[in-house]
Amino acid sequence: MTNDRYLIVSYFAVAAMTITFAGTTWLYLRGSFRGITQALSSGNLSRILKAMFPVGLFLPAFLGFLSVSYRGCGKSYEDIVKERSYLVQINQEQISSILLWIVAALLFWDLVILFALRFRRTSNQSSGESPDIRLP
Amino acid sequence: MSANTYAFIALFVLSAALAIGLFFPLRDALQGLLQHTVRLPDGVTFYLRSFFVLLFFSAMAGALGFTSDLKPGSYFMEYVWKVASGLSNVLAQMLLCLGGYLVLTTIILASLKIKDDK
Repeated sequence: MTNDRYLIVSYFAVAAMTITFAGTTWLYLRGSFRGITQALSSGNLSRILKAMFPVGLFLPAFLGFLSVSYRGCGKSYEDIVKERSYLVQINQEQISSILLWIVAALLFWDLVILFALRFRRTSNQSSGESPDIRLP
Repeated sequence: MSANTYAFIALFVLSAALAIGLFFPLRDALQGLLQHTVRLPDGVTFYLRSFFVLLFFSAMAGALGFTSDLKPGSYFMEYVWKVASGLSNVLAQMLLCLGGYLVLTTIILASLKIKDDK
């Protein structure tokens, strides 16, 4: 396989991996996330959060993929495809960046859930309802 | 397969083992803490799973962000040093993510627990 062909194949393969990583993470967390949103409220907030969760994972993953540039230090296309090792290195950087952006997105969603839980507890206490599980 | 590929595979396997080896000893304690503070089964599952993804992905990102470019015919110890250098990259990434999760856990504790202690 020529380097030019490798560049094309690897670029779209890493793009497919972006979808795979984000999709796997979404499927792994989807059930528990849905449970939390249902426990929070059956209103608009729950619907918004459910709709935003996959968006909030896929977009950062693609951001990670797109943020890595082949044209470092003003390289021309010929310079880029000259060495296979450079192409492999950029592919590794792309995957690494995708994973790190998913991690950052997850930390953000953890915070969102935390604020939602706090909001729920505050509204439960102000309406005089008992918490879901009694403390010993 | 070249020696560089073997070095990369070794680094990859070590990173995965490190992430898994760190997750399992912490899991039970974290689960207990979350059950006490979050008190919503799905919430506990979500935070535990996100912790696993966080650890695993940060380790993988650290391993993939490192390139081994030793020339053929390099000495064995040069490959070992290269893997060790990559492993330090992995540890740095994991430490950063662990720090982030620790801050998050502290905020969870502070904001959800204090209200019930009153």
